[in-house]
Amino acid sequence: MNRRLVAALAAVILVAPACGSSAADNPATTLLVGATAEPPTLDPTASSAAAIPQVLLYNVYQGLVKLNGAGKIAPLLAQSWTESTDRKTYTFTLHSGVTFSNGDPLTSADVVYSFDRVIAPKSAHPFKAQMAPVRTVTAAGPDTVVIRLKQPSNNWLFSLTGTVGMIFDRKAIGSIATKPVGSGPFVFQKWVRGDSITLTRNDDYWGTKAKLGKVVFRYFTDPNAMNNYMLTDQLDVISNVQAPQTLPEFRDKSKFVIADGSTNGEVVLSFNNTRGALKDKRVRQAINYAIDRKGLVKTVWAGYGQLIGSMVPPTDPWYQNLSNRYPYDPAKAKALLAAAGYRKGLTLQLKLPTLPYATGAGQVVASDLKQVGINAHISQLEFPARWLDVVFTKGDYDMSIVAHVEPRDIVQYGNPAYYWHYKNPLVIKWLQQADVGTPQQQITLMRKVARQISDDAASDWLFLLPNLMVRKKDVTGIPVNAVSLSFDLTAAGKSSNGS
Amino acid sequence: MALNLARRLGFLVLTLAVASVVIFAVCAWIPGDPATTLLGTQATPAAVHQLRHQLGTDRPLTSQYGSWIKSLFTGDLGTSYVTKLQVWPQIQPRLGVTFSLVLVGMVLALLIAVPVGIFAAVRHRQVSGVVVSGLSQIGLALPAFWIGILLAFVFSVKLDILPPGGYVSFRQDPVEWLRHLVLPGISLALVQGAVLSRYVRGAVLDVMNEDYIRTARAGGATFAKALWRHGLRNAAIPVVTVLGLQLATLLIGAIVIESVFTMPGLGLMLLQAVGNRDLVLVEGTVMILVAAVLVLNFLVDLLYLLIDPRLRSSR
Amino acid sequence: MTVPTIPIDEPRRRGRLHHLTVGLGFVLVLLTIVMALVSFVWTPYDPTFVNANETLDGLGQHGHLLGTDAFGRDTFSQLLVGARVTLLAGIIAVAIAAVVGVPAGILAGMRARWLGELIMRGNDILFAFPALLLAILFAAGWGASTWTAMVAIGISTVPVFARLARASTLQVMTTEYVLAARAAGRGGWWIARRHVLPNIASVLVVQASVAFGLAILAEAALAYLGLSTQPPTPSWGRMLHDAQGYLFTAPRLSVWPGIAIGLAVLGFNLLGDGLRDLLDPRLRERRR
Repeated sequence: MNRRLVAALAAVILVAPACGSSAADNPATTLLVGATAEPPTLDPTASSAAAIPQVLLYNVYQGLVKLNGAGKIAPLLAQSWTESTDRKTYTFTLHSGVTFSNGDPLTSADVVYSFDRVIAPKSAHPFKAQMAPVRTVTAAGPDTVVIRLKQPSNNWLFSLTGTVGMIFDRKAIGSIATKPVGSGPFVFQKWVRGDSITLTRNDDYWGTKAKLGKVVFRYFTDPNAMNNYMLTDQLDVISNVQAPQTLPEFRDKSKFVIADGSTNGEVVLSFNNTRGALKDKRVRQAINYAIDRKGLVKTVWAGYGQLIGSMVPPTDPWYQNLSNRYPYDPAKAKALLAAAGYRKGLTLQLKLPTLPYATGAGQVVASDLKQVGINAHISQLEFPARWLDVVFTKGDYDMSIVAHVEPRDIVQYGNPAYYWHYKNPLVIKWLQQADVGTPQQQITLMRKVARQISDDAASDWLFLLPNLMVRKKDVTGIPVNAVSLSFDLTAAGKSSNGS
Repeated sequence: MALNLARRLGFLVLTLAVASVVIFAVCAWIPGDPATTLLGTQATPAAVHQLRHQLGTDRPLTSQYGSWIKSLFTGDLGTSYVTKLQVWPQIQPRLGVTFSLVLVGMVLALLIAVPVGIFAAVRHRQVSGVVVSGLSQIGLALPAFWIGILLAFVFSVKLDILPPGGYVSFRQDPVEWLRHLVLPGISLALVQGAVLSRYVRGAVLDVMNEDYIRTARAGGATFAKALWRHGLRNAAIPVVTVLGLQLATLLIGAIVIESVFTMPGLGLMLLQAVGNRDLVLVEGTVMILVAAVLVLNFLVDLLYLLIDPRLRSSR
Repeated sequence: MTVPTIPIDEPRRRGRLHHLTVGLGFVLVLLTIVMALVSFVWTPYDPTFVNANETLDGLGQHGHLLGTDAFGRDTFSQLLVGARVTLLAGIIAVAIAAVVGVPAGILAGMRARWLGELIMRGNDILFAFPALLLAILFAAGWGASTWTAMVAIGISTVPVFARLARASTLQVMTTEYVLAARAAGRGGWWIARRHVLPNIASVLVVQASVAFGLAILAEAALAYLGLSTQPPTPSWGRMLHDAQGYLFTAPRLSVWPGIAIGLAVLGFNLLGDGLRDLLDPRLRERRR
């Protein structure tokens, strides 16, 4: 008798549905988002981790401008701006009556403060280099900011759409590592480390209010666990699928939608252009010919992912499809190697970061290179700490594979100190001209740059990381392409009838 | 007795001091700099230099160690390089998670191991006993994350009677706390239970042939009664010892399970902290873990001294 | 702290059942060793050869006996080469634990004064650093590999061997043989070699076999966390880890390495049991 009672009790406890939790949430306006990389801190000015702008950019923090869904620069906190004829002075007119979520008004003083904080000599801002063209930032009235540049710069204006352009409440700056206060349509509510970050709708938002009442970002280290949550309705959307081979689990078209868009994340097989055999263009080109990139995408990323022939994603204005510059041709690779004097073979180090796409891609690359006589010796470096130390800072590597997710990072090919140590005076000149030129000139020049670095085989662009999302049918308004680092929820909602 | 106690206490303090030096030295030796790790690929050398100064990592090592030890004495474990928060408030909630998981896992492991071990021992000469013993061997050989994912899939996705992961604190909702720990606990317990069952079997076998069992039976008690009254208590001692030994190796199992069931525990935090080179957090966490084990050992040894008079006068 | 010993006095039934289980253990271990040895000489395919056209093949497809993985690499070849890592993992861990722990434990057991205390205190410190911690730290220091993982496991297993060796040594030191030898003026080395080692060997062998099995499992667990064998070296633990993403779309990828690990661990456990019976001096005496 006793035993049965205990068993019954146990059964009730185990099976009883969860009561007492989330009675106040309205599931119709709550969005549960699954993500894999948790922010190390909530202060975007202290760490370069992309997980921080993923949650906070455009949702909580805003800049003067933003990138819209089509990848174009659009007004945000600034309702308009004018350029001087020499394009060295920008005058931004802010919206009036804008407040931060804690009630503090947002004025030009906050803009000046935020920008000064980046460019200050003692600043340790991770993206300080992007503000290098700025000479002065001054307030010309409560709603007007005047920025003077040392020379015209298209890149600078573009960078304002990202982390470096975020405007902070100067009165709340002390606690931004744990309590972000921004002017965006969402307000930071709480962060349960190792678990989730919760945002709620800003009901006093100065613009069009968000449709969602609440957003919860849940973090997973195990992709199967994340998929299980999605399958049991504990998630509404998976923001960035890192295990695309599991996508067949979401076959059910009546429940799930799989969205396959583009990102800015070029997966680059980088070469140390100043080391040994890789100094020779023929060797670099041989490697490009030797790798079956189509097969690589199929095995490493389940066939999702576009082939790119240079450091340009399709969302950039100067995109051209150069992916056929080096078609898969092992015979040609061997010929080039022989011409360069490596008929007997060659050994190169392939130092990989411990990231899923890199580990997989590295194995395919090594196998493909083996077929043409190149012995690629793989070693794994812990990411980010050791990879940054050994490959990036010290340049102690021959080849590496990493996804460069910052927008417009093609400009790094004009910096010989950057870890791939590529130096082509033409490219450097064109990049400088593109920066100071008109938008039209920029497009023409950037096209030349893209073509040149491809011809020089400065790197091997393996594929573009797709923006793979799995969402429930009733989730709407999430951009398909990730044009910035933000998981932009400003237009997201849940429709009641599904679409 | 008091001298013994004082000597042991002295050793404990010495051990803690040595441990702190080892921990600090290891963290200082690991290649990779907190400042560059934080700032990433677009950082300027000036910014890195500035951040190092802010964090205090450009000071000589002895000075860094000194200030760390000094703050430890005032109970301040330091401020994390990455989150800028105090270390202890970060560790505390995660300790609760890992502790709950280990507790539930151990209890379930015992619930599995004791009956299985006794059965296998009592029937060790029969086929049923050998089969059960063999099954426990197989349980030993199954990877915990495999079991975890399969259990989650069956009970959560397919049957929908248990949550697929996460953690609810006991104080918030005891029923939910238990529900969230069932699957992770079982995953942990299956392997631990298999290991423990072998020790239980061995200990019971040991005891089964002891004189006092034979004496009890000669006095008219049945085998079962004799075992129960006399044997199990003696068998319990070595098993408890093994439990203690297992506790250290349990951490690996726990962090794997924490990852599979997305529980915000200590193991994952440590992994992330090392990955971010948040050395203050790493040192603080490791120091706490090591101190906990050392103090626990100390208390257990003390307990043995108290309950076993034979050991009191020994060296 | 007293350490439980797996029974020595138990009157074991030397029947068919017993021989069967020991034989099974021996066969499984031998199989693992043979697999590893064969892999040095021949594998049906190069286990690191990526073939994008033959991914996720089933049994026997395209000439692959056990199919292929997501990269089109032959599963059977990977199993063969993976056996090397499995054995290496166990050997490293147990060797370190035994070579460091056993002499320390014997020394502590024989010289029970300040040296003994010191050794046991050192043991305590070592014991306080869980294997995972060491694995994480070593991986951070040298880059994760089979060696960092197994050295970590080995170091963290030293206290177990040391305590076991010490406890058993203490027992042996009180026997008549040793007391007689000491009375006869025999030195420590002689006593250690002649009396202590043979008598504690059986306990240590059992512990070694259990430790071997646990080391194999630990390699798999650490591989799951990315702290163990790195690609492209095939390892059963990593095969299991890589198969995770295909758990529901291609479950057979988890089955083969899982079975391989399970059988190897089972084999070592059964073999250890059998060896213990063979080496136990008390049982030997009874047989006479």
